[in-house]
Amino acid sequence: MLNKKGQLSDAMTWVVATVIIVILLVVFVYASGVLGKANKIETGAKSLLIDDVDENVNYFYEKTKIAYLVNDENKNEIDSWVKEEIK
Amino acid sequence: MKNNRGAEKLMSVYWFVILFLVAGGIYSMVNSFYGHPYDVREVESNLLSQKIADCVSYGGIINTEIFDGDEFNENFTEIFLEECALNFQVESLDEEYYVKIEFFDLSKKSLFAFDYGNLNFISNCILQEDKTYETLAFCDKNRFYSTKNNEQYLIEVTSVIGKEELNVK
Repeated sequence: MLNKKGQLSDAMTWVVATVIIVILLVVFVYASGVLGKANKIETGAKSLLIDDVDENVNYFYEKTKIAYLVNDENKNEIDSWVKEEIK
Repeated sequence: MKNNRGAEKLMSVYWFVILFLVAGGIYSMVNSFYGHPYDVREVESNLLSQKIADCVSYGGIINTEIFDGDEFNENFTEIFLEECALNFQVESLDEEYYVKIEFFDLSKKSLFAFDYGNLNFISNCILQEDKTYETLAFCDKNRFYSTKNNEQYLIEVTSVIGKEELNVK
């Protein structure tokens, strides 16, 4: 009496394993593609990072503040123009 | 007595299929992760702007080379790179940089401006407002205040970096 049930169950095991491997590969390839696109270096580069200072310092506003030491007339107008969001 | 030699040969073929499948998956993972370059143009443009700003104004006083009396010194455009210690040469033959320095009075009226570099980048600053075009040249504008002989000037520095092939894919 032939009995092939053992071989059939072996094959079914590997079919399931293959499906799991393929699914995992697809997930990892997709994840690596998503992570690979997130590579724009954004440092908040308009700010200087200075040790022992809680807030970041804007480099260009610091130049403005130094110029105020020379001439600080019309400070409010100058501040509003310098801090205005540039498009 | 039956043996499973035929099944074992089939399994070895299957193992090779799985091997190549996994190898292909690893290759595509590595390629998709490392295949995209890093976009450092924001940092680069900001550094360029800072360097130009230091050249134009230092210690709250505008560089004397920029003015000829009370007017703009036209020769400054020719000596701009040397004066500010800049080198715009890159590996490619195309010009990859554009800078513009504009001076305003306190009424926000433009007094004069000078620019240097690839003039084709000017339109990129307008287009970049739309996120669809963020793969174009990177545009950065910064403003600050400076003085000359007690006269007050508002200065806007625009720096544009091209290099799309190296930074964006």
